[in-house]
Amino acid sequence: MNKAVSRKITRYSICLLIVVLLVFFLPRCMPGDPVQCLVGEDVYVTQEILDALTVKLGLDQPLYEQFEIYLQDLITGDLGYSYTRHQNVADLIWSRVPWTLLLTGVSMLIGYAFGLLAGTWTGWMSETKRSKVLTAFGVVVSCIPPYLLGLIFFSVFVYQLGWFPYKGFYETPDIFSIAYHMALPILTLALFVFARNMIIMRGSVLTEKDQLYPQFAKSLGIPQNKIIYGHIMKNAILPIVTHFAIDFGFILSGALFIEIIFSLNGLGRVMYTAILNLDYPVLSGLFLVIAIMVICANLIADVLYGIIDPRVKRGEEQ
Amino acid sequence: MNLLEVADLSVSFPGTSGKIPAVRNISLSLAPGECLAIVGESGCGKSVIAQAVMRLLPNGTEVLGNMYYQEQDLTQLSEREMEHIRGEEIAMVFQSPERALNPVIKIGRQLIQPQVLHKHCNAKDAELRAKGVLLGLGLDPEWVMNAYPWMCSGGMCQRIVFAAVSLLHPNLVIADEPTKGLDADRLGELEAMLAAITSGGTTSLLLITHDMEVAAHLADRIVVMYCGMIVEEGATALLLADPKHPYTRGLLGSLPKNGFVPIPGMSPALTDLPKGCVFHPRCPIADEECQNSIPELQNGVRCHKC
Amino acid sequence: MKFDRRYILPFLLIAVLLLVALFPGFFAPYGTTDRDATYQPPSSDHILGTDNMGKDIFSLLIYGARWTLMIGFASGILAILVGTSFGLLAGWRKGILDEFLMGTTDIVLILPKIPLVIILAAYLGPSPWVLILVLGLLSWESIARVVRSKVMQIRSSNYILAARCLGFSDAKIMVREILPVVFPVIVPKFVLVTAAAMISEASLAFLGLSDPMMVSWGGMISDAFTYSGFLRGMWYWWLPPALCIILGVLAITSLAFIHERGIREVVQL
Repeated sequence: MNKAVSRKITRYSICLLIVVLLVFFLPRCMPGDPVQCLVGEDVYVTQEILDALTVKLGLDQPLYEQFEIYLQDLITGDLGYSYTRHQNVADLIWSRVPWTLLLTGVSMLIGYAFGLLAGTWTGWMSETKRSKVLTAFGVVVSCIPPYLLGLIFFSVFVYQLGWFPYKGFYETPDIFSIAYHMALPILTLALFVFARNMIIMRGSVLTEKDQLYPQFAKSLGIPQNKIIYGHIMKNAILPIVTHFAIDFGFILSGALFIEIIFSLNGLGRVMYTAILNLDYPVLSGLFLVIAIMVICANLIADVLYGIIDPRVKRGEEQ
Repeated sequence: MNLLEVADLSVSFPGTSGKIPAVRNISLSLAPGECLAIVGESGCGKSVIAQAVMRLLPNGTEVLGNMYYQEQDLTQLSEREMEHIRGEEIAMVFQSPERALNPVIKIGRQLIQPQVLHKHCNAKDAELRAKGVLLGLGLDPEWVMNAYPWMCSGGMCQRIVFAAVSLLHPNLVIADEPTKGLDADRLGELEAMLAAITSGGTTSLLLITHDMEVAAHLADRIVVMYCGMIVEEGATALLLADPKHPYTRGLLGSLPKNGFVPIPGMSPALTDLPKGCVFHPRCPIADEECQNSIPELQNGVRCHKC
Repeated sequence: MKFDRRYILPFLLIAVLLLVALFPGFFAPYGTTDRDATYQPPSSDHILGTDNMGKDIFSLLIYGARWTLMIGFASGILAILVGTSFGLLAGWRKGILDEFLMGTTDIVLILPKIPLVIILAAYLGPSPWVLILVLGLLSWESIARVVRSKVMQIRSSNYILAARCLGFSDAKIMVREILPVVFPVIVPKFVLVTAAAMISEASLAFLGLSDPMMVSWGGMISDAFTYSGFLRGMWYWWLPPALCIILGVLAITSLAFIHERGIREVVQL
C-alpha cells in the first residue's frame, strides 16, 4: 500500500477517533454529576434509574473500562436513551436520517448541476454583462447564511403568498404531496449550493481559459462547445471535487437549519428540540452520526478525485 | 496563385491609455511549398501576425486589413467557417508543446478527436492513422496512445504535437517560436521535423522565430520585423549575404559566429514609439530625415538611407 | 491598493458598522433595557416598532452590531494568530513538523464545524469565549495552508538565503522578511474567516446557543421566530437584522475581492 493511501486512511481514522473521544469525554468532563449530563438536564428521574444507569454505563468504574463499554455500545448501535422523548436515541436518529438525506441529496444534485453549468458559462464569457450580473447574484446569495435564505423564502412564499404549505414532509405519503412540501426547502438549499459552486467553477474555468491547451485545441479547429465542455470542464471540475468534501459539511448543516424553519421532521428538528431541552444523549448521538456522514463524504470525494485526475495515479505507478 | 496573401494588416490591442499598435501595415505572401520566416526580437509583433491569420486573437482586438487564404478573405469569415479552416487548412505549432496538450485527456483521444471532427474518417481509422504517424516519428504507438501528456518528456510532446498537426494534412503550417528555450539536440530534431513539412512541395511553412540561424537553415525567404513593421524582406541567401537595413545588419552581427556584437540601445515600448523611422534612435546612419518621416517599403527595404 | 471606485461602498458600509458598534449610545434612541408596550408596529416613537418584551427594535439593532462584529473579529484574529504561526513553522522548518502540522490541518478540515460548535456550545454553555475560541480554532487551517505555501515559495529565494548567511536568527528572518510578504495573503483570509464567524454566530444565536444576555442580530431573528414575530407578520422585527447580517458579510467579503486573482488562490485552497 503506497504512502498516499495509507496517509489518507490514517487521516480518516484519527478524525473518527477524535469524534468518538469527544463524545465520550464531554459529558464526563463537565462539572457536576456525569450521570446527570448523560441523562440530560431538565429531566427528573428517580434515583433508582440513575443508579441503574450508573452501573450500565460503568460510571463507577475506571475510565478505560467506561470507554470499553462505550465502544461496545457504539458498535452494537446503542446510542443511549433520551428521557425527554422516551425513545431510543438510535431509533430516533435512524428514523429521521432518510428525510434529511433526501433534502440534502436532491438539493445537492440540483445545485451542483446548475452551478457547474452556470459557472462554466460565466467563466468562459466572463467579459459579457450577463455573466457579470449572474456572478454578482451568485456572490450575494453565497454570502447569505442558508437559514436566512430560508427565512426570507418562508416569509414571502408561505406567509405572504401562501403558495407553499406550512410544515411537514407530507400530508399523504405519496410522491406528489412530498414533492409539494419539500419543494421550497429544496429550492432554498439548492440555491445556496448553486451559488457556491458557480463561483468556484467560474474561478476554475477562468484559470483554465488562460492555459495553452484550449488555444491549441482551437487552432486545430475544434469547435468552441467541445473545447468548453470537453477539454476545459474536465480540468476545471477538479477543485469542485476537492471542495465537495468541505462543502458537504456546510450543506448538511444548512439542511438542518432549513428543516427547523420549514418545520420538516428530520434531524434538524430533532436537534432543535434537543438543544431547547438540553437533551445531551440525543445531541451526542446526532453529532456522532453527522460527523460520520461527513467523514464518509470526504472519503468518497477523495476516491472520486483519484479516479478523475489521472495525475494522482502517477503516485501509484511510481 | 499564392497560398496566403496578407494585405496591409494592422492589429491594435486595447490598452488602459489608448490603443497599443502591435502590428502596422504588414503585407506578405506565401506560395505553396514555400517556407517564409518572420524574424525579429521579442515583442516585435511576429506572433501577433500568426495569431491574426488563425483568428486566435482575443475579443476586442482591432484587426484592420485583409488576409487571403486561397482567395478567401479570412477577416470576413464567420467563426463557424474559421473552425473549418483551422486545423484542416491552416494549423499552428506552439512553443511549449508540453502545455499544448490537455493533461487530463489521453493522448490517443487528443489525436483522434480533430480527425473525426474534421470528418476525415471514423474513429477506428483515425486511431490507426495516428499510430502510424507516431511510429514514423519514432515513438511507441501503443504506449503513447494510452498515455497522458505529463508522462511524456518534452521531446516526446514535441513530436506528439507535430503528429496532431500533420494528421490533418493542412496546407499551411505556422510554427510560432518553436525553438524557444530548446537545447541543441531537441533543436536538431525540431529543425528536421520542420524541414520535412515543406519537403513534399505542397505544404507551406510560416516560421516565426527570433533565431536567425534556424531561419537561415529552413526558410526560402525571410521577413525582418521591428516594432510591428517590416524593415526588410528578401530571399534567404541574398538577405544573409548582403543585408541592407541597419537593423538586419545589427541582427546578423549579434550572432555568436559573427562576433556577438549587440545592437546598442533597447527596443522602445509599443506605447511610446519614436516619431519617424522607428529604428532611428539605435541606427548608426540615421539623420534628420529619418527622425521626421516614416520610410516606405521599397525594393524590400524600409529605409531612407538604403 | 488601487483606489478603485467599487470599494468605496463596502468601505463606507464597514465604517458605518464600526461607528455604530463603537458608539451605540450615540445612535440608539433607547437603551437595551428600556421597555415600552409590546409588539408595536413602526411609529414615530419607535422607528422599527417594539418586540415581545417591549424593547425598541431599532435600538436593539444598533446595539446588536457591537456583538456580532466583535465575535467576528475576535474569531478572525484568533484564527490568524494560530494559523500564521502554524503556517510559518510548517513552511520554514519542513520535515516532520511540517508533516504533523499538515496532517492536523487536514483533520481539522474534515470535521464538521457547525455541528461541533453546536455540541460544544450546548455542553459548555453559551459564553462568548466559547464561541470565539471554537470559531477561531476551527478556521485557522485554511490560513495555515496559505501561509505555508507562501513561506515555502520565498524560502529558497536569494534574499532569504543572504539573510541566513549573514547569520540572522530564524525568528528575526521570519518577522522582518517573511511576514511582510505573507501579509497580503493573510488579509483576504482574515476577512473571509471573520465573515464566516459572523454567519456562524448568527446561526448559533438562531438556535438559542448564543449568549442570551448580549444583544445580537442573530438573537433578534431567533426571538422573532420563537415569539411569533413571523406569525404576526412583523417583518420589521427580523428583516432589518437579517439585512444587516447580509450586508455586513457582503461588505467584508467584497473587501477580500480586492485581488481577483488572490481570491481565486484563496478559494481554491
